Amino acid sequence: MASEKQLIKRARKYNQQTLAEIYDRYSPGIFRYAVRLLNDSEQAENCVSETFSRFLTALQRGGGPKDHLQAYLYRIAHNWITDQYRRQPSLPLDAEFAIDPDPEVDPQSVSADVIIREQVRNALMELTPDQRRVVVLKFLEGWSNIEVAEAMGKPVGAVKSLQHRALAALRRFLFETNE
Amino acid sequence: MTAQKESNTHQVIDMLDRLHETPGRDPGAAERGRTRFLAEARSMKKAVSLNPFRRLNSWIARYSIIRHRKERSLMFATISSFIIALAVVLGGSGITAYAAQDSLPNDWLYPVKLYLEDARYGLTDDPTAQIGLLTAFTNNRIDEAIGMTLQGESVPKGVVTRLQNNLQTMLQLAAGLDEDSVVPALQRIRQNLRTQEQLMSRLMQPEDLDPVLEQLRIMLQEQHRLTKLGVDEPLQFQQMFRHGETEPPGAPPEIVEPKGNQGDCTEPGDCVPVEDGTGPGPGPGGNPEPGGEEPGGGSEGQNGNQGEEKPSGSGGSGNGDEPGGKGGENGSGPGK
Repeated sequence: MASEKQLIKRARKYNQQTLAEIYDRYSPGIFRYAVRLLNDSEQAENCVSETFSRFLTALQRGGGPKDHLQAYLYRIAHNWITDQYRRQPSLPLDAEFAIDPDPEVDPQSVSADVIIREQVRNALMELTPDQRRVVVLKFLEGWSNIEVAEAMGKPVGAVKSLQHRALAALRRFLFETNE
Repeated sequence: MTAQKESNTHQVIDMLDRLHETPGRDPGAAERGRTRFLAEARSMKKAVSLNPFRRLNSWIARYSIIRHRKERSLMFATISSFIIALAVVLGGSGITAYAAQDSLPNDWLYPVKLYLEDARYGLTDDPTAQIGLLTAFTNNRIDEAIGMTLQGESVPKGVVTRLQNNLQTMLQLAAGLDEDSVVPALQRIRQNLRTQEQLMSRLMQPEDLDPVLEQLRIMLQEQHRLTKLGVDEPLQFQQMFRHGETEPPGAPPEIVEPKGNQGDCTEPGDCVPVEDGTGPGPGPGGNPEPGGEEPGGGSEGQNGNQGEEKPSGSGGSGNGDEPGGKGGENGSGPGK
């Protein structure tokens, strides 16, 4: 598998095979990241499209990353998602509400799970954009502190600090507001 | 951390785990996206000449044609020179504007960001559009305050003053709308205020305590109160503003002085070319020059260049050439 540096170098020449490889490698993760935060598959696909389009535009202008391509793409996606959130602070209802219930599944347990996920999503949206990004990349995408730091362009210490504040904020929002 | 808090933290992480599962990606949508991406890349590649030798040498042919023209057009030369100069100026300023969109008050590009906000505001005389812009600028000020606090810096007085001006102007503009428009406008303002208040409340813990942030929060609460009045009693709200009976929302009795010189941009000439003495910040009578790019939004500000082209933006952060969140257009980074 080509390294990110090699991919970037070839991508700058608009090598179709390389660009396809980049899309195939990173778009699923970007989609999952977006759908977790936006709770909307269509919007998540828009996010993916916009992310890769902006990547191409950066290359065309002689910009773009020198390394850490994944981190770069996630930053683009995060910026776009944050703007979407600003435009529409109310998240759409959980998609599961629209799904026909499986008769073999206990509807009460499904409902509770749906409600909790909605609560967690809403709580995530109460965080600052950077806090949200740290939480999602670390706990949902499973990135290490170093990877998160690269994605955010911050030192590892700042990432840890953001994580600490984010979890404290989530704890307050999820437990103390329900008291 | 107390045992209860620790337990709650573990529960939070368990709850986050529930978001691991995501709906499957529609294969058709994924394939369409992939096709679009590759097609866009192909079209970009075609913009460059296929024949590298032709690309390198074609300028000679063009130059020869110009040199050997029997009739020299002075007008053509003048217009060409003007267009080239304009492209250089706009291109260069666009790069600066793009990089400025996520700057914080302690960044050297911050005055450019404020100037561009004023420019955007000056481009429209539609009150509803102006309210929308001021809402975005209010969010920018709050982002800056949060960003500065997270960096361990004090929030400069200029941020507070500008926010205060924005809030006051928003209400005045809303009060000046026709009867059918004033309530929807105020409801939109309220919704945004609620979101911003909740964001700030998450930071107002003992370890984050900052007097200026507290003042900002009070300011937002006061603005919230006034907008609620406007929604409940629109006629009374409009009369209040016509008769000048309102005070600037949440006017703090004392503002913490910033550490050192952080370019608070409150006084005319600090960072914005003053047109008519109204100083920075859009407001009634502001007269910024047109032009500039949309500021970005997005994440809290970042500083420094970590040696690579990094995305920033609205939705964005940093002052590299990251793609803009709210559509930063120019510069070396992407963004739409």
